[in-house]
Amino acid sequence: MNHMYSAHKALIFYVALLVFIAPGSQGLVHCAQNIDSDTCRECHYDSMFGQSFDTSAHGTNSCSSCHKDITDLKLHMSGTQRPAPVDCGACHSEIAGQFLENFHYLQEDFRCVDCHQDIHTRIKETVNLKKRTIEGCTRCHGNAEYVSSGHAEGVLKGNLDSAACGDCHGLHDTKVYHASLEEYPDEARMFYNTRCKHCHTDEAMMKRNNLSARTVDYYEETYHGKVQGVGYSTLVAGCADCHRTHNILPKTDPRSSIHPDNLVENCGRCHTGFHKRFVTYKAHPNYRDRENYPSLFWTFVFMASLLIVTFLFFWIHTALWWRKSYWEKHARERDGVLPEICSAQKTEHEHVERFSTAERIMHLLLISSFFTLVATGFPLKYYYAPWAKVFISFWGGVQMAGLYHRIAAFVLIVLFAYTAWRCFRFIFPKGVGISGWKERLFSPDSLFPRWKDWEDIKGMFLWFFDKGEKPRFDRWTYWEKFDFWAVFWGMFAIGGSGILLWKPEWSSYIVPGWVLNIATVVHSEEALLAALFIFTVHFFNTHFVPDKFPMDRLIFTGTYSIQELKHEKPLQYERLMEQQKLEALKRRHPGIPLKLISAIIGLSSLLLGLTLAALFIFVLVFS
Amino acid sequence: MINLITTELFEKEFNSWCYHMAAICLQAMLFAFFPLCAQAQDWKTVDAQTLHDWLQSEPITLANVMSPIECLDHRIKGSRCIPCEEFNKNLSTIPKDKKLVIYCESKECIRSCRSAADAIQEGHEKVYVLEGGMPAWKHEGFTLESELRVPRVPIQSVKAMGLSDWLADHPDHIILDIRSESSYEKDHLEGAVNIPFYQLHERYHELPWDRAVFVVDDRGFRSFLASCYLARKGFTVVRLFGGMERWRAFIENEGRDR
Repeated sequence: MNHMYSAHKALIFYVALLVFIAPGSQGLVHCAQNIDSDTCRECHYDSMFGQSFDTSAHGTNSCSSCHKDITDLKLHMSGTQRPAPVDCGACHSEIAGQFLENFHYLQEDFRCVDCHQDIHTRIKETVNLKKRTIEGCTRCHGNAEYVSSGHAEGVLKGNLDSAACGDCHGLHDTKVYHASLEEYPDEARMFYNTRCKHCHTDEAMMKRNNLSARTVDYYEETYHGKVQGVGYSTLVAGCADCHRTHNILPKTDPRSSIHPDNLVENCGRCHTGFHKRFVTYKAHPNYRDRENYPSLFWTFVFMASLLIVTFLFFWIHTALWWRKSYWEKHARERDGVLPEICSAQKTEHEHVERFSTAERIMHLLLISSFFTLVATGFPLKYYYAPWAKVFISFWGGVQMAGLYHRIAAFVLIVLFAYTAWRCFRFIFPKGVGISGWKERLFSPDSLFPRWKDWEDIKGMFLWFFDKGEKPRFDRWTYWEKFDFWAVFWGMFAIGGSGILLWKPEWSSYIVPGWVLNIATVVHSEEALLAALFIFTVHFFNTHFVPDKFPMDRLIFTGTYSIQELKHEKPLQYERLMEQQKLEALKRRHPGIPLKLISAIIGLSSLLLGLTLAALFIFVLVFS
Repeated sequence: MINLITTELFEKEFNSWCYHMAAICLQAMLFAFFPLCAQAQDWKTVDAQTLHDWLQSEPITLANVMSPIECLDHRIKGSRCIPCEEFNKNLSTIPKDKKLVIYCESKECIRSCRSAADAIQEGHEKVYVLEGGMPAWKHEGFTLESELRVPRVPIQSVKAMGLSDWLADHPDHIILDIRSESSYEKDHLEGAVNIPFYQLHERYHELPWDRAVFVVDDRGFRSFLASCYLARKGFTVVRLFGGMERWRAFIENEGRDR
């Protein structure tokens, strides 16, 4: 021991000398303060500081590499200079950075050694790292739930892919959320959902473990996934709500929360008042999988085909129409031919009614409810689009968006019912009974399709290709009839599915849960069909066709000139003249205020619709 | 479109109304849960970086209002250990001409706010509460000092759902509630005895040496260190995971499920 003291005094002297000689040389001073490890081992002779330390992961370090604060052996031996917690971050800087987020440090002031108590004998572990992590955490935390889980079984079998504590909670940046107390609900849920997704979207890892890496994608296509994706994870089921936390088991295990026998209880933790068939709802189905989800697959195929066929036909129709009209207009301009309206007789400038006040109000209600439905529904459909969250926050959150969506849906349903009533009254007028209903149904004033519509379609295509004259239309053209029936068809598809999804628990008393999956696909795809159809085809046919561009305010003013009637609906004009009914339809020319308001409403709607269409097409093309 | 505009305007109004209502409810909740922090606003808050700068540049009084065991275990260098419960009677020893900065282990700073209110009442004017408490200080990467560090040892924790089983399996236990006297009086587990954490270093010998001690605190954040302290003294210790707060939530959920 005396020898040790002498050596130490010599060392101190040497250090002092160096400090005076080279005060700026920090590295040298640092080295000079080191106490030789063998000196330490003279007292700390336990094997964990000897051979076990030498063969440990840190064996190449000296004692003073870590215990830098022991600089005076005498003070240390007298108990005055005690070792402070080691600054492991000097070497493990990345982990030290993560540790600043660690709950155990922030709240309990844990230091590295509190978990790594075997630091002097610790060997670098790669194979059994997860097992060791579990052993470490469960020294304090109960493991009863975890050990019976599929993840634990995997780890114990040596599967390095299986999740140990650190994979979900973070290892050196362990988070603590009192999720059950709803203290950090959003943050906690997003954190844990992200952790689950981190592994379960890893293609290679999932392939190794016979699991699908697309399950997360399928979840994100459901209502739960979309609401979570748009930033409201506390309102819907995340991974752990159904699969639970530590006791995650496959659905074939009777103890599993997702075992068929446990689903009523599992779903019942969030949903109430449902029929037990509610649980046949698929939480993350793959509707492209014909074998396992045939009904969803065929629904998706049908809806996708409907979209493709409809748009293929009408977009081609629109393009050809534009080409023909534009070329005709060009020819007129080139040859100096004035439009017919300029050469019309004076009386033909007079206005006649096409849409009554009630019809115009109905259309305004239709516009406002339709835009509300689109602007509240599509941010969920395309929750991943950069604009989705902006829309949702505009409405005041996803719950408020849902409320407005339902209010608008109610308005639309009332409109639909009223229109259906008017149709009924058209075919069966008051005081007439059923006699002559067939004639009325197929009359030119009816919106019901008739053979002439087919002839008109053919005629239009011949006109597009310069093979004939433009067909002579009566009161309703075939594309106007399609617009009308599209809403009717749409109301059955989108309205029916929407009503089922309105309160899914109640719907389970009518249909099983898996029908709600189908309803979701139908509602979503039909919405896309309706929105894009209105914002492209309807907008063009009614407003952007070269004769009308940039808009036709007829639907807002309700009247147009006799000359326009004669030009657009010649057969109706001739009928009215023959029946001497034209005079009764004559109205005053719309005033400037009505014209201006019509233009403002119309152009704003067109602009909004086009913007929305552009946003949707952007998502469809680039997502 | 007019309808659309009016609908939107109405919706905006409605949204704004909803936000106001939500804000009022939130405020009411804040008052209900944190009456001490919400009422008096005479003290100021100081962030960790500013406090760090003050400590370098001027003499201030820095008070750690946790229990002596916690304070001596780890604290910001230069802190005085004055438990929140004894803050009032120690106020006369704190100079009024210097800034007084109070902090605790909780980022909600409930104990700090309570102590700050006491100081203001006693005529202290330059009273500050460390924003985010010690976690904020640590998060910034600033160091601490340990005078009497309690060695951390593995302490088994029992979750609320497993408590009745554990108590049944260990009939020879004693439940130790380390919360303040007032919290204990409000509610406690059946059969629990109360030794507040700030008195534990003086009164731990009142506990029976031959029985397992089941430690209970407010939120599960303080029982670990108390347990480590008792384990160091030779007791067999287990603690309630999440404290009384999570126990209450568990009981509430159980009631709802039933």
